[in-house]
Amino acid sequence: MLEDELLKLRFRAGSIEALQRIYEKYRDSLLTLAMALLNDAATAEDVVHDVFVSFAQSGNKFSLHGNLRAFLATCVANRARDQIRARKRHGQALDDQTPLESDFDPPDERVLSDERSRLVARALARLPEEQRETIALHLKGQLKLREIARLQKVPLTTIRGRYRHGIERLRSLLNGKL
Amino acid sequence: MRPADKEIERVIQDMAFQAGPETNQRVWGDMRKAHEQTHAKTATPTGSRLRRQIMRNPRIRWAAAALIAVAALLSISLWDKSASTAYALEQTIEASRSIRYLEMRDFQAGMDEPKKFWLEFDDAGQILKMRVEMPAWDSPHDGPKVSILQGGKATVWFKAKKALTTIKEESFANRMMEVVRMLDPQLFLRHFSEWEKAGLAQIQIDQPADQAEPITVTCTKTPQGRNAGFSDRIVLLVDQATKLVATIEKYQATSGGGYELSARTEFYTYNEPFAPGLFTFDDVPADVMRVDQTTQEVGLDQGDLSDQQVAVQVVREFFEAMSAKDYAKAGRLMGGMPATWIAEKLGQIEFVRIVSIGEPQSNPTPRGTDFTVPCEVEIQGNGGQSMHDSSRVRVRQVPNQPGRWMISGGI
Repeated sequence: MLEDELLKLRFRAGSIEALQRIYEKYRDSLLTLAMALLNDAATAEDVVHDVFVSFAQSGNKFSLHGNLRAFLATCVANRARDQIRARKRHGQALDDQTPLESDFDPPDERVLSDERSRLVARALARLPEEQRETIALHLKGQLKLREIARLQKVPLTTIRGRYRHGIERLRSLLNGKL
Repeated sequence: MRPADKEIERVIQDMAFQAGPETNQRVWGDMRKAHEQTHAKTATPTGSRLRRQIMRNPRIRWAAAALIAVAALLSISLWDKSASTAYALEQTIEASRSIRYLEMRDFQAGMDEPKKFWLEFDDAGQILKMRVEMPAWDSPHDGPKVSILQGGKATVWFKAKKALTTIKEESFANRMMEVVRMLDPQLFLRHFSEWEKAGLAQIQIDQPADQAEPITVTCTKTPQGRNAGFSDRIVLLVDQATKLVATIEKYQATSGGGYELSARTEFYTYNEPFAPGLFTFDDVPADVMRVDQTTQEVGLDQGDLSDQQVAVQVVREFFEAMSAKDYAKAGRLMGGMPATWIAEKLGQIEFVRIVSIGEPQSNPTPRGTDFTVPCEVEIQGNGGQSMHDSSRVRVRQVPNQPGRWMISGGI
């Protein structure tokens, strides 16, 4: 995409306006991707925050010859995966059992959405991690299945299977609810 | 791929979440700092520059305009468009002021259990007591919980976590009020006006001749408002006798051109007080862990340290306490968690030393600035082997105890 090529060049040259344009252009789509992967507003917000701040820090070292959207989506997926694995590694993270940090933010303030989107995110959360990531990256991150196969380090046929089974499972989960 | 699968793909492609004003402010603020540091600029964003930044976001601009327009709105009968339509916006607002006892039930599509609220108001419309029951689906992080607010204290029973936590009232009350506020019919009526002015929605009022039937106020998105962050259609049912909103219904547009109910909030007003037991925790089991931040000193006193310095110090003292197996201190630094609980959850881990504590990253929130402190510690596993564990520890001020800081998560 020509605009993205120009933005990359200008960002690398130090333009904060280019950085802002990249942020505004991809903020909501990356947040949606993070919500699709995590179904948790606070963690999704943290992931998107970290991806963009890290991107901003890259400055004149930034060198990307490929698709900017795919690059940022991959960054989100990697960090989301870290979050999920951190939860699993600790059994249940200590703050999941700590009652003092309440996830009591008003639902419509921090991350805005409609009920259908939240319903879909909840359904995605019930898929196995690999299926969820495959579907989210393909349909929300706009990555090709081949790119997802490289990311997950599995054959393309495996990715196709994960995608197909994930869609079937979602169909039964969402049946009659939409 | 089958047609039904194409439909599922379309549904996922249509899924949309948007950053709220706080998220936007936090992320862009940190991005700008990172950019400036990278390019060795020392300029600090001025308040006016930040304001211009915020106002460039159309969603935030809409919210600000809505707030500004409230006072003007109250004096205008916006939809009194014909002599035969007697209902006007301010009638509902005026009627709302007389409510003393209010119950609300908020249902979401696909969920059996609603969120429930009971509120008691004084003559001035201030909340005297509140009980809120949140089902597990509302907050997977917390699980199901019951909160009671009264007498200067807020107490939350986290049912799944088996914990009963009491904190000083103010910030918790504000957060609970935000949840209630988002269901306030008056808020919807104000938004309707702004959305209509912006061309994002069309408003229609139907007032049946039969006084037993409710007035229907329907707000439907226009094509221009297709991507706006509210439901495709919102319907308020207003009782003709009292002019109070009895129900708020939210609808999603279907692929067939119709609308499907996705959420429903019901309002019940009473002339008599609620049963006293509604605002007590008499039914909490005996094995529930009780944490009371109002009767013990929790967290770390900031003293002369800056916010960033105390955030680092809290994390340092926590891991030093864990290394020394001082679970009582570790629990105090975690906001008053009992020592026995800390020992149970972390006692099997041998904390050897702190490897590093990084620069705290600030996270602005409505209650103030929290921090995320990256750190690495050396621990010993059961087999005696050493390993390094990285964490991003969250630190915040103790609720309503300014100058005292605690760990709130991330361990």
